[in-house]
Amino acid sequence: MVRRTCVRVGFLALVAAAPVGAQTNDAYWSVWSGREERLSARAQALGGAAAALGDDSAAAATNPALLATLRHSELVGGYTSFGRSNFGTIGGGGLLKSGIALGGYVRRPTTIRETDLNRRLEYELTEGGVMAAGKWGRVAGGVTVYASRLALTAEALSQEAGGPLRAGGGAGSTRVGATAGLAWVDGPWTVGASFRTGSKFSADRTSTLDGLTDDAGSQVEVERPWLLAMGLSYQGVKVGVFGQVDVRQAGTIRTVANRGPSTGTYDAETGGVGAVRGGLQYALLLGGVSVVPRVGMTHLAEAGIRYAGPSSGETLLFAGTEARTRPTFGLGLVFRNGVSLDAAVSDESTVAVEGRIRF
Amino acid sequence: MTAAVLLALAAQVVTLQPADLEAKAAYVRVAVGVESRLTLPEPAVRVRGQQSAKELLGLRLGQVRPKGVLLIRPREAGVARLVFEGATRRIRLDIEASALGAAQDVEFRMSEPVAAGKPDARPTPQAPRTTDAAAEASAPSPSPTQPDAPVATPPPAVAEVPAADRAAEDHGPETAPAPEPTATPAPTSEGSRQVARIGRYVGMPGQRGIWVDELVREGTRVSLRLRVEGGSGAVEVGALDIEGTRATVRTEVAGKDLIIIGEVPLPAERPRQATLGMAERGKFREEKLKLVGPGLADLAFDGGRTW
Repeated sequence: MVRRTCVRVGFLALVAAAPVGAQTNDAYWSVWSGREERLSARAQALGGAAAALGDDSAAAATNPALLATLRHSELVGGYTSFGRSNFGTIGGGGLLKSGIALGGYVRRPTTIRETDLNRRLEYELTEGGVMAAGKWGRVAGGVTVYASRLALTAEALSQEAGGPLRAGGGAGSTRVGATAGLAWVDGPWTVGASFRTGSKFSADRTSTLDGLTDDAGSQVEVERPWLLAMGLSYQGVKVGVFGQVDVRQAGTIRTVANRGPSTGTYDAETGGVGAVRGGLQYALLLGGVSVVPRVGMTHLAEAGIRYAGPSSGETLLFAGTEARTRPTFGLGLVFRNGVSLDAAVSDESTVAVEGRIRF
Repeated sequence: MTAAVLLALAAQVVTLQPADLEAKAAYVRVAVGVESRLTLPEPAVRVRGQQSAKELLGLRLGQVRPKGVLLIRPREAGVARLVFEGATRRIRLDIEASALGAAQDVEFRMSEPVAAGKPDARPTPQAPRTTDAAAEASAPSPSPTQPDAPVATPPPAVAEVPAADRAAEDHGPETAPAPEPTATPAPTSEGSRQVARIGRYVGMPGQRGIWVDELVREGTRVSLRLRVEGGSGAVEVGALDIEGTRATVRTEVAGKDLIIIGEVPLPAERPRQATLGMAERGKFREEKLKLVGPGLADLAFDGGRTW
């Protein structure tokens, strides 16, 4: 019984999924898979349409070519809370000269917590990246190289054992990936495309009871999908319109027990068009402050974590998420001294705030 | 009545004496809640005054060129002072908003053609539009039949205003008057031409962007090249000061953008900042332009002290 509990806790921690509904599973996966709209409050308010969102070093993590469209060097810090999870981001971009820029970001911790009376699951993703971009005429190109580290911990109170049962991924797993981007900029129009490589994480699950190894554990492989994002934007003096389509690979999670049968396969997202995003902003100059309200829309294809295996309980628990459309709203304040504040809200209890200073 | 006394009557012309402009202010009475129009004799460079005064008057800049036009719609009764800065001179305006006033359409004219203080106005054949403000201002005053004396019509009253109460003004740092014109130097050889690329963007969301493209030193002159995004046909250019020196300005159209080129005599040091006035849809805008590139090295070393 203890062993079964341990296996279950460890696995749940790794897939970062708790029995709180399919939408939550999808939200967890969306963070885990690194959907970049989580990086920028400005981009979130525009439905995540950041592939052609220029002059924003935070959005440049989606399409690094856009780093070359920075008009000033800047530092950005943000905080996003969704449900009981959160993450913080710091980053920025510096112009070597007009049209050539370097940037970077650190995102930590991307933490997913699920706690009830009998267990605590915590999943943490730390990611850091460096970006470089240049612009030649109307064409810009850029690349981001990043490292992601996945770690997990879980703890369950086992009534049978009478004490805490700990299961975890040990030292976790670190992978290096890259994003390459291109953009074509002509006056207010920007066309952007970026490709992010996939990554495969492998973590050994272990479990201990009172400091002693309790079972043989299991090995979990998580395949983070590649992502192709294509965007178009118009940024006029007052009005900005943004659109983006995401095409992605299917992501999967597989577990292989070190002893005994496989616990099954968990498909996270299906391949193909994963999302259609759109956003609108309007800038008003009130005194010395620019006020920029934003609205956005994201249509997400069928996704979430879907179980395929022998367990009927898992089949019920991880049934995936139907396609859906969610609205987003946001507000930006830009001050003459170079400071700006952005905020975004959407369903799934997501709230993001961001501050930046430009030089 | 002293010629410098300024007259404000409904739909009338007021003649100003250049010699008295510094000492006396024009007085105009306008009606609350009704739009009045004041036409000044020169292209507008800027309009100074306390923000509260501008708000009281509901001030808008109706036109920059060829003559500055101020549109006023006071929201309540009161007196406010403005200083209109034209291409070659400043005109003080004491404006009283009164419930007893009437809508005004006042045109201010100089009593004699403006001839002094004319900067370099050499033609620029490649420029589709020329906004050499001083050159334009030097055009003869219209209508020699313009009366110098007030027309005897009913109120609003005409009043002579004593020398300005300068302490009541809040103009901030006054811009240095336009420099005496200097002869345009002969074209210099290419060898003496030095170009400092800048590439700095100025503007906030909701504002048209201005790019500070480059600073060029050529012989005894320095020129600054600016580009207003999508500004062709939309923007009226006022004055451009480079380190406090009024520049001779010309404009060119490049696609949808408007290119502004200002030229001043070579200063002792490389210019560090400039001020541009421009208007769009009746709204005047003044931008301080840092003549330093946006790169990190430029920020760290302030762009360097030399060319």
